[in-house]
Amino acid sequence: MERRLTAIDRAEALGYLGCPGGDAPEELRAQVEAACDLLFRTARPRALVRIFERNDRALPGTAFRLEGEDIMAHLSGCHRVVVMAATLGRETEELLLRFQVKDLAMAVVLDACASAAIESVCNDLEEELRLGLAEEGLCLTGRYSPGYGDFPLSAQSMLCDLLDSQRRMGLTLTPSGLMLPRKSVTALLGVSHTLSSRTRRGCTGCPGYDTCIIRKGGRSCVY
Amino acid sequence: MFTDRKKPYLYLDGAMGTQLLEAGMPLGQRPELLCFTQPELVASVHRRYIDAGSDIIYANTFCANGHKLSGTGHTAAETVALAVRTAKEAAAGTHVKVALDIGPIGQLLEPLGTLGFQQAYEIFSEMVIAGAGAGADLIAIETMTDLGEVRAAVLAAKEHSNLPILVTMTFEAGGRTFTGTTAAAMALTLEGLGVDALGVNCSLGPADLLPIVTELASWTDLPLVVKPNAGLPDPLTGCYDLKAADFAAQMEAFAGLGVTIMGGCCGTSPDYIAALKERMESVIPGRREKKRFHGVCCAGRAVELSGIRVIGERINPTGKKRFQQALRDRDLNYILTQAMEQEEAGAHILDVNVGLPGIDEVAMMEEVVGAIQSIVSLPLQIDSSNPAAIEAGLRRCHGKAIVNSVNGKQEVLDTVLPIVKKYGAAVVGLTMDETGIPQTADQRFAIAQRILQAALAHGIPREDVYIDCLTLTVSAQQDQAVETLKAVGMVKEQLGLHNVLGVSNISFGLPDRLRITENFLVQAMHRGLDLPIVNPNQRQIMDAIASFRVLSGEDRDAEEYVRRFAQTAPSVPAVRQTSAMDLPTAVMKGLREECARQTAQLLERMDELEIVNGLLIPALDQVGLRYEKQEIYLPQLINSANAACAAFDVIKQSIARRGGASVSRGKILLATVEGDIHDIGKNIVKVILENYGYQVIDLGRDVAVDRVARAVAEEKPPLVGLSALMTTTVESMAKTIRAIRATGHDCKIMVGGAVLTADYARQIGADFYAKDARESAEIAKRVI
Repeated sequence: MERRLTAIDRAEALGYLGCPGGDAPEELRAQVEAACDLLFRTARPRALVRIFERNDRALPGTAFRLEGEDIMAHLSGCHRVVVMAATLGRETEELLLRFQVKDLAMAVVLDACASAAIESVCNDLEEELRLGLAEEGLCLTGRYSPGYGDFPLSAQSMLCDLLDSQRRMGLTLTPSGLMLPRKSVTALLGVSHTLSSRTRRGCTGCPGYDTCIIRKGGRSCVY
Repeated sequence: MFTDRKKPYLYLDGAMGTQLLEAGMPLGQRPELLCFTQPELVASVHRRYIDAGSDIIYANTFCANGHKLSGTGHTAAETVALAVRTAKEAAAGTHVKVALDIGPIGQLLEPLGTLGFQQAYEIFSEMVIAGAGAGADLIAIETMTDLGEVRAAVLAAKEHSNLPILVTMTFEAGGRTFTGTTAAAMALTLEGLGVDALGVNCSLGPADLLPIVTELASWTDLPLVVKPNAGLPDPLTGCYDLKAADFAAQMEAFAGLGVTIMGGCCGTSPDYIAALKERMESVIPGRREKKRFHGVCCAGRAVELSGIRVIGERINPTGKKRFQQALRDRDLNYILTQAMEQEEAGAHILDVNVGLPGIDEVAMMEEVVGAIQSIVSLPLQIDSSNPAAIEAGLRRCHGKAIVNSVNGKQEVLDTVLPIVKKYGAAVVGLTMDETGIPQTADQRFAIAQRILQAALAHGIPREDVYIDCLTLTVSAQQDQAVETLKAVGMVKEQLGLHNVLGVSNISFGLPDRLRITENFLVQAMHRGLDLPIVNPNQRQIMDAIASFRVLSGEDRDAEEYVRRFAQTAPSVPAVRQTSAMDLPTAVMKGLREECARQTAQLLERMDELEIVNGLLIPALDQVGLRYEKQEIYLPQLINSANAACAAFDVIKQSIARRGGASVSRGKILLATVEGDIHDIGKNIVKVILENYGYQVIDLGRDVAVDRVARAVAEEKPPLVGLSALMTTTVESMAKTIRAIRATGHDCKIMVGGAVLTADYARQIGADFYAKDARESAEIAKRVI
């Protein structure tokens, strides 16, 4: 389904550019604004969502099994699982490629803003789902993606299959597991009857601490 | 097979996957494997479709390709063969034909993705050989979104079988596929390649597909296929919303367009096919209108040939030192910049010529065509006299291209026209032959006629033959200008063909050339020139064309003319504080033009090395320092580097003019490793290193391990830089390092990328870890 890009978090984009906090020079802020303008005009986000029942590590009716302990902790108490994928689309991919040839500095800024943009698309989608489920008296966890903690990146391929993501929104994987278009996200969210009071573990306990791109962007995957 | 006049409609089957899921197959399992485990289930689905009235059923081979089946223990060949045999058995004793069903491989092709065109071709070839061997009656290529992938499949089908080919692609409501292919481009390209029927499947319900099929019908005369979904799926449950009767009712509209081949896709069942057939039995097919348009295309844009269409001439090394250097250095970025500039200046088609002594033209053509398609959405004109280079370019060009050129020489016609026909291109015929360029319009016209006859004899449609009556230099052969114009008129009036003409040559050797060129261009357009080959960056030329299009009536209500000129207020030069600005300041502020201007002025009183070592490098160091201190950020660092680049360009030109030695401080080879397509970091490193005067050999992204090793052995650089962004591709970085070491060439290796650390760099055998682009320059200074 088609989605709309409603917002881009400038601070997050600046974080990806290595300039966290509010002290970005005026020039850089202007570039970020210009990049956001371009993205608002170009991006055609699309997303797919499906809800599955959950039975321990299995999603009945599918060939998928949940691997790793961290995803199990994330989904503890959840009887259903939402599988989602979202992308900014090939229009954005082409824009990024063009600017790499035309204006590398702008390409860097665009890349950072596009990363913030796909997060924003996911946030909107997640909030909609949460509101919808709340009407049924159900709660939704945050997003958990392959590659977070010990949830293997290889799960990506099965999530794409469950959603038929290539056919339905043009999202494919390379043999090394990279998503194309690049500015895309797959994730699982848990549905439960009660809001769980899981403790936040923070990044330091994560096996991916040293190399985590999310952390370098000044964010955290743990909710 | 698709134009059986006894029956108004041919019915395909409906969904296979939906039926198998209903029978209990878990989601996410490969349906193709059921032919091994539950052949009876698959056969029963086939039989139900046959009972429902399908004339053609699709074997259960949609994803039975080498990529999707890897790791399952089954080869594509055995899976395809078994699935086709299962379908054949189900159809035994009926009139029903079995199609080898070919869906997308499941990986995006280059240039947006990493799967090579040749690899895709081989994956499809394996399926075709097995399917044809097992007795498939036709090949159905379906659910495709990438025109490049479709071309790989069609070429595999044609080169490994004689079976009829039916192609359907999947579109979004906006009229494009997910990779941006338009319906017009699909029709032009596939009709050219010689498929037997084409259309749409999947994506949407029948009603929503109607506008897309209408568009297809106006670009092709081939039989049309429609195989829609049962409406739209519920996003949460995956169930489709159209009932069989409603589906059939919506399908009726396609009969009016002359669509004759119908079936169903996701969410449909034998009931839908039965309902469709019942409904259509009483509907008389509408008369199929002849196609309304013809032209050329790339995947994302069709250019209809009616009126003036500008062919950009800048991708051509002839007489251009900088371009020649770019070809020798494999500097694709420079070539791509030329492509983008022309697109922005209003070119409709790009001529691509990469012929230069000492360059492997075949390999270069393939590479440049691939690269241009990733950046620019314009049809291409493959310009070469080497048939192998022409074929390499056409094979890689995902659209309908133009071949520039053939001429009246029999040998050339015999060699090149079969290639043009095979790939469905258009062709430019030069009016010259064994005896040279004739001096009169009549003689040139006679050659044009001969070329047309030869093309028709090879099965190339008349509309795809363009004639070039040849521009000769007016300062050398003054009488010839009139002859050329006269010949253009004859080709237009007597043959009705499109006229191509490279006009710039007319003014060679004269002062203020543009005046003559423009005047000749306008006269030629009045005579019937509609495909001028020009430099679209010359505003005066494009202005002349804009004016002409108003006077000829092509630019309705002068809309484009007004848009072009209404805003051209007298331009106020941007305020620049040039008085106080010196070269280092211009670098620091990232002002490209200012840097070039300052450098040109400095060259009047300083030599090149003084400027580089005394001004540019210290300025870059200063910028680097500010970046370290976080006074400026990455985009500013790059802007400064780009500005310095403009200064270096001026210096290089100055050195080249006096034939001096280059200022290169040494070679550095860069690559983003195999499997990784995130190369923005590597590109930043490249710019920075170049600005410190290093010669950078950039192998690009997703570079195979052995290709890096080969390049290291050949180029022998003292320093190699490798980048990888993702954890999954760091392993391929380790392999690349081992392969470089195995060449025995003694070089240092630096690595970088988001997920790398100094520790990890050491572990995989790198000599240096560069945490950012700035540090890579520091490492280079130490090593070289």
